[in-house]
Amino acid sequence: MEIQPKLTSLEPERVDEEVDAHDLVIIGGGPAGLTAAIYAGRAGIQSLVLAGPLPGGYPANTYAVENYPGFPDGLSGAELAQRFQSQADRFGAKIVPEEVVEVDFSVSPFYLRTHRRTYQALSAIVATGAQPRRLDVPGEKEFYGRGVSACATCDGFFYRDKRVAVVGGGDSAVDEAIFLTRFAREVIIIHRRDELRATEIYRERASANPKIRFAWDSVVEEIVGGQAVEGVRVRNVKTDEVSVISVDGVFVYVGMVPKTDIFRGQLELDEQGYVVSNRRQYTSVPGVFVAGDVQDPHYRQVVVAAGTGAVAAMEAERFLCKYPQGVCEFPGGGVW
Amino acid sequence: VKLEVSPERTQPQDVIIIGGGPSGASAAMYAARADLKTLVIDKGLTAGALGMASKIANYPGLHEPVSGADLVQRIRDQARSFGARFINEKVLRVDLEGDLKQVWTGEGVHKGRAVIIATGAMGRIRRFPGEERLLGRGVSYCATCDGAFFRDRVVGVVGNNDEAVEEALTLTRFASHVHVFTPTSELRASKELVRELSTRDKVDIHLSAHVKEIKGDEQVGAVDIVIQGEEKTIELDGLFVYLQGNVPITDFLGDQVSTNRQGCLVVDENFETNAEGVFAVGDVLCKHVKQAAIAAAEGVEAALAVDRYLHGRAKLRPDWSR
Repeated sequence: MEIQPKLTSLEPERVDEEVDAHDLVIIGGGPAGLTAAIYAGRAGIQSLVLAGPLPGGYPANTYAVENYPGFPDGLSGAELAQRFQSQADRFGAKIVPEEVVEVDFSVSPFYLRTHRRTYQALSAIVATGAQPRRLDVPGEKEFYGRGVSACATCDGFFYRDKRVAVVGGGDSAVDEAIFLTRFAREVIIIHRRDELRATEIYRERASANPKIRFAWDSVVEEIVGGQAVEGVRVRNVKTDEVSVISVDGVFVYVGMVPKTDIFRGQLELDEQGYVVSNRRQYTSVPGVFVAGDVQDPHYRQVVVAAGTGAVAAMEAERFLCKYPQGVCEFPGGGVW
Repeated sequence: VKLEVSPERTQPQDVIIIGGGPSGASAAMYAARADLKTLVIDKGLTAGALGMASKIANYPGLHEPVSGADLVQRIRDQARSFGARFINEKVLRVDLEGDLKQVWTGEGVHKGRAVIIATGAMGRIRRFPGEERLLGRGVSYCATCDGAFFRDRVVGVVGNNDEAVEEALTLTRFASHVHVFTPTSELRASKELVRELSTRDKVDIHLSAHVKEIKGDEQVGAVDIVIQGEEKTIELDGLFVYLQGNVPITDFLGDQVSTNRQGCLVVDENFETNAEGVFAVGDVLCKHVKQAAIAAAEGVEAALAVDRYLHGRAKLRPDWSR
């Protein structure tokens, strides 16, 4: 892939003014980015983490995380995020709440621009994450983590013998609905059309499963409840009839959106917008590594993101060792 | 003696996990959470590389350092809370053919529809006098993990392969001096690595060096060693052992699972071996990165792959549509 140089970032006035040089800049402050910072710090590399306005990443908004290995009592997403941050901090990472708005990976050192200033970096780790596409209906945000979820692998266990709704009609919505029948006593798939978009094998399995019911031609208008979710208000798109289905949980599967807009033309992305990488977390640009959900359309688990963050940091370390001015000595801060 | 056979034992498991270190225990947690009947067979809490580590500071989320055994215990407790069962037995042999795999231990046979091998790479049989006693007290098998504890101290590295040289290079960033003790008359690592090692000022390479005893009361203090026939005592604060004895534990598999030339198990991108329904994770794959967080992540990925295998899910799509 041809990288498109961003000539604007090379304009002299921007370079002169407040350029801040680093060995390693990590873009994103979720589990992947902060684990990368921890591992970089451990290797003696002082990293700069451009975490965006809301550090902590996706799990910071999660009510309870009980499947991150090492925490048998579970903990809140916010606490886990806080732990990652203080650990990265202790290993010498500098975490700033700035959001990267433009990068130029066509030149070395790389340029990264936030609203506040321009940074230069010998190496970079992209860990901007991905977000579930939302329904954008009342109650969705309010009940997130209290009945509304976008991850059956994470939260299915909480719904033993309960009644849940799955919103969506693609492969993964149906697959997750089937998964949820292991726990829930009834699963209602709410889909806006009168047939599933999912492939044959999933459609067959869903219709053969006695625990699955369908609400066809239906769109969710509101998620309702008191302390927790109690139901969904749906509208039939053909008859305009409105009804409330009572459920204890709502799983939303209407797609994921990796945060890669600023990397278009800079890194190779797949057709869904995920950064293309390999098991060593390389991207299409030497010196730029990637970790976490932004390169992972499959797992979306905190521990898996952390694992890729650790690998990315170790590969960045290896890359910096080969850098002519780096020579494996990292006093911290722009050494070249 | 006729053994009493409990129904627990005769009932087939959905998945049997051999090895309860960070990868095995994390796999167990995810498998149990997916409502799979999960059995973990393990030799004991401190049998593996993490379990014997004295201090872990870089496991993400644990900002207060914990012992390796403590971390393993925490993951096991978590797996148990979702219904995984752990038993303390040593696996002797397996039959991985067909839909129901069989795993024999000293106590009898266990049956499971899928198997995850997470036995690690601590397969060295012979140890130096003092090594076991001072493990975690200056004796270590992982510079990436423990190197930072030896800032401005003198350390030794025993070994002659790529891993030993790489770890010695890592240690040069922390230690004031690094002795490399090579049992053979030359280093058997790649030329590039050997060249890099020999340019380092703070490194002494001792060829034909044979450790006699690791000495120290509470902590490693010295090593008794024969170098080119001459007996010496060298004072040091830490000794990192990478003898080829640190091999993946695969002896119980016979030749049912493919290995590479180094004896490491070979897996595809879903951590499945050549044997259908048999997966492998962690150090037994010898990826040179002995980090608990990475091992745990691998365990999780394998558990999700097992779930997919058992439920005939065509593709891995646990969370959303594309």
